[in-house]
Amino acid sequence: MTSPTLYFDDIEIGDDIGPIERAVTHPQALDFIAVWTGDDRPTRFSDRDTAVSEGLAGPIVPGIMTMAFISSLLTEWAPGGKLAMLDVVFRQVVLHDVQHTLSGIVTDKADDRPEIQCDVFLQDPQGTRLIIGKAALELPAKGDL
Amino acid sequence: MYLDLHTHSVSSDDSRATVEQYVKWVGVLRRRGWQIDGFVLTEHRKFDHDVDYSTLARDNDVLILKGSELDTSHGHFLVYGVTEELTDRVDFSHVGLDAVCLMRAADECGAIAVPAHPGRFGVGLYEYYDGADLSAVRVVERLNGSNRPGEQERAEELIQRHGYAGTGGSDAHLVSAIGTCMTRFDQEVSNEAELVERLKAGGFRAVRLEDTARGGDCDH
Repeated sequence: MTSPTLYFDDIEIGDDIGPIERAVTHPQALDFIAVWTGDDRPTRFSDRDTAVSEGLAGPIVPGIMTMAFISSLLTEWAPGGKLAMLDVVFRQVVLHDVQHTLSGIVTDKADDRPEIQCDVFLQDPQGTRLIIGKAALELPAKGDL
Repeated sequence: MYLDLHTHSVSSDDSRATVEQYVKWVGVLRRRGWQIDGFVLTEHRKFDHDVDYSTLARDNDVLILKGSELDTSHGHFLVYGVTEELTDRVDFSHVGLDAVCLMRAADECGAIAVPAHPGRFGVGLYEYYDGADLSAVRVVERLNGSNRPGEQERAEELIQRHGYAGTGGSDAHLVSAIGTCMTRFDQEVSNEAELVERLKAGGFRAVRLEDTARGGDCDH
């Protein structure tokens, strides 16, 4: 089933994006790392003992993989839209096999083009925001601006 | 009046919000029925005497004041009422400032230094009661919009133990976070000097955004 197109004209500042729930399983992370690095040596991303030896609670999700999930939050919310910019701050690590919540909120609409700005968040089950950031999305418009 | 006493713009390396976007979001909050009169920019480890937001503030009926958030031996401190004399005396970029010296220098220069998010793990005052003379602390940031689980409880414990007065600030690093926690002042504040005066005199309390709905005002 195809989601309906979301138009720039229908968006209001303050509109919520998501939330959606996502957990990166350990096998998913390993698959991603294999493609990303082509290297199967144990690292903090793939191996529990290595992660713990570096002071982490367990293996962590690569930052670029979490960015991919945040991207999907936006593109699934706005089919037909184009992600023009994503800029995030990694505040704390994201662990494997934990259900995280991804969400966003529309903070601005451009006056001269069909582009919106959003804040985006990835938070853990306790509500702590592990990743924060901002994004810009180009959306189809119904008419001329 | 309601002021957010702890915000970061893109001038801080870990923020993604411009001052103009904060101002626009203040308008969104007001249209939703919340009360917010202004905010203080507390950039990390710096203070820009030259930057001037008076036109932006006036055009949008939002009070925009400037302060700083500094890294000290006893956690992060918010400094309000920064003067050239203070920035001449204190190296704001230094990450290991002596907190006691900072509080004294601030006081002598007409400013005030207030422990930020005192319950925060790693960088909150809670973890630094090591025998240093902290008797100059009178006010701490009671409500911080970026608190993690357990940190509010630690802040409340400190406040209870020492009888501190408490401010509120969002610690916003993104547009939509501004105003989530604020300080309600019984008297008007119109500039940095008055802010310092009010913080030293009392007559304020920490509030959450939802407490500012007209007709509803809960105490924290």
